[in-house]
Amino acid sequence: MRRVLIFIWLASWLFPPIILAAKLDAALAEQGITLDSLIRAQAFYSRSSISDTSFNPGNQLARLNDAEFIFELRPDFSLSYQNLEFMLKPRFQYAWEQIDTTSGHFDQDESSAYINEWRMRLGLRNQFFLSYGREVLLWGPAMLLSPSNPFFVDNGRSNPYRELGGRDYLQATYLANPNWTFSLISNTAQGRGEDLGLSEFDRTDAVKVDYVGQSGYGSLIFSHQRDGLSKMGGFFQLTLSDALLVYAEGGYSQGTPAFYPYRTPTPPGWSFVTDQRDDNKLFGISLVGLAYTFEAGPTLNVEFIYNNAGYSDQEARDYFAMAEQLGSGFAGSGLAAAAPLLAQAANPRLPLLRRNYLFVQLLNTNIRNQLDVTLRYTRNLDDDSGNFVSVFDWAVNDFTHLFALGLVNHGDERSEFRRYLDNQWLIGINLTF
Amino acid sequence: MRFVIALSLGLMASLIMPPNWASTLSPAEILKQSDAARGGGLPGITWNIKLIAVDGDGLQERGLTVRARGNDSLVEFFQPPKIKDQKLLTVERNMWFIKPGLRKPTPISARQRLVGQASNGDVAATNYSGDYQATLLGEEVINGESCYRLELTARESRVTYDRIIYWVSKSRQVGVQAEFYTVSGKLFKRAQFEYGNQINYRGKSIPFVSKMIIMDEIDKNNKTTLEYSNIQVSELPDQIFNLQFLTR
Repeated sequence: MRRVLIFIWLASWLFPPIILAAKLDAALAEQGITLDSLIRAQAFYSRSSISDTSFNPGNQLARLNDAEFIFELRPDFSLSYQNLEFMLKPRFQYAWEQIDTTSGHFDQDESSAYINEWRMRLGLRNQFFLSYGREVLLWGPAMLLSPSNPFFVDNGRSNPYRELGGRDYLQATYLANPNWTFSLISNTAQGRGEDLGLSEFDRTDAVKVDYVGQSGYGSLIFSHQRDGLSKMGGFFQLTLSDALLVYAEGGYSQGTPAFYPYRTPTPPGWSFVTDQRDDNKLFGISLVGLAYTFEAGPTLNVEFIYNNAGYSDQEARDYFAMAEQLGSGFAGSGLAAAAPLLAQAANPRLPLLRRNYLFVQLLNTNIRNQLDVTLRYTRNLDDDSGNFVSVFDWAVNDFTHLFALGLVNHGDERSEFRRYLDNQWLIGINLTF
Repeated sequence: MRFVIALSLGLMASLIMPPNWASTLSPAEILKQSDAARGGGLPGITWNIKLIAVDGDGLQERGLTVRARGNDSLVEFFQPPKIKDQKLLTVERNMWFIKPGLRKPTPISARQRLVGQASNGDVAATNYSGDYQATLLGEEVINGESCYRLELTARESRVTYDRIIYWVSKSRQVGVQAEFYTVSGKLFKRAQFEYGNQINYRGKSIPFVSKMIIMDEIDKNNKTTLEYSNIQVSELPDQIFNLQFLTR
């Protein structure tokens, strides 16, 4: 009953902004001010089957939820007056989750209100733009991940129903002509960006140069993280026909912040260190892909990814051996020694654990005027594990979408994709006003 | 003196004779003239489209705003609410689609259909003269109106249609009917155009497309109608067609 009351209380937040926006819109238009709003409400319920592996023995370390319900109000507002633009995306969320571990069963809920994105932008002569705010900055043609992006490697496509958290940016953009755009981007604060609690935030500054040509476009990005590494990234895409696109994307740094496992003679028997940080070698991810649209409608994307910072066969054997040894200690008396290393093993600062990957996506939209289907499969070619995601989005009427997402990981006990999660499903509803 | 007489006779003849603009224009120029009535070659144009698609699965309606300049266009959906704020940006041959909530623009190809029988290229400004090589096949009367029958062949493989037969009114200088063919030569879509709108450009009032009806030749039950309104001609700044300004 309490949850229902909270739900109703949150829902009541929805109506004032709708009425306010509708009334303000007409009044402001007379003053030359444009106000746009998009109000969405989304709720979903998910169940997960947590892998019982050495990385997360009995789910005591990662404490992943096996059931979750999230209700969100997502109003988006934008306002523009002459050369000034303002964007605001406040969020109201109610979250409930159930966590099962070998040491107990937990059930918890939380209501929160926050601003996921906002931005103030000033334009000068339609060529210079200065902005500050909290945003999700994504770019590049790749579907699996964005190796050229120093701020967001995850592009949010594996689960489109969870919003990525915005980070704080100061940006200056110069539109030299329709073909060339130059940007200075400074990520000044973590904002609501992913915080794994494993390292402190360091400011990152970037220069981005974009070119758009007749049948292709590309970008080069140079970035530097204070007290961190400099990175060079880029991407391009070519339109080869009305149905075929080819693209490539990459991001490289001299040295890598990734953690690598080493055996040590002293307890706990392993060290997990960033010993290639000062290496002169170039490390990074290279991705090549193509997209082909069939006459019948579906679009197929195929991507090959090479990650030279990823673990070799020997490093992977050490990584899993470390987890097995520490995981067995975690269940027993070696809790204090095992926990920090296992926590770090969850995020070895590698977007992909190994070196060679194949990604395939099939997207078919507007089936029978109602259904969008996305099927995504990522295969680790080094350990033969894989991750399959299917997303179904059904437009029931002009305001309502029902959606479902299914995720299945496969592989043996010493494989990347089955370290934490075996499978997951999610169903939900999205209302737009 | 003879020059003055010749000039006078010429002027009189031009007043007496019916206009036959195409007699002095090449097929490429006829095509270029007709493009203007569908948004091509203008410094910037904005219009609204009400799109109604009927097929075996029912009826769909969409409301969208199109802003176009040369080969670039930005399509923003405003109706129904479930697709509000979805956008389609075309810059030369590059196309991106963006949904609210999914911040990363998705690169797409021209073949991906927008809704019903309308392709992404159909809703944007028409630039047939840039995309196709025109050949005059002859003359025909379409709905009681004398028209030139042009064959348009794609200059390159990147355009939406490989071959188009296009009927252009001799008197109004607008395209009134089109047939679209696949690479294999099969007719798969037919379109008819109406010009109930007027725009002012360079001091001239010229007709502008008010309705486009697209009929599927493979499944005759499929029909898509595009109704154009609120047409405004004005220069559009670069930022409208810049990918970095697409999300808000």
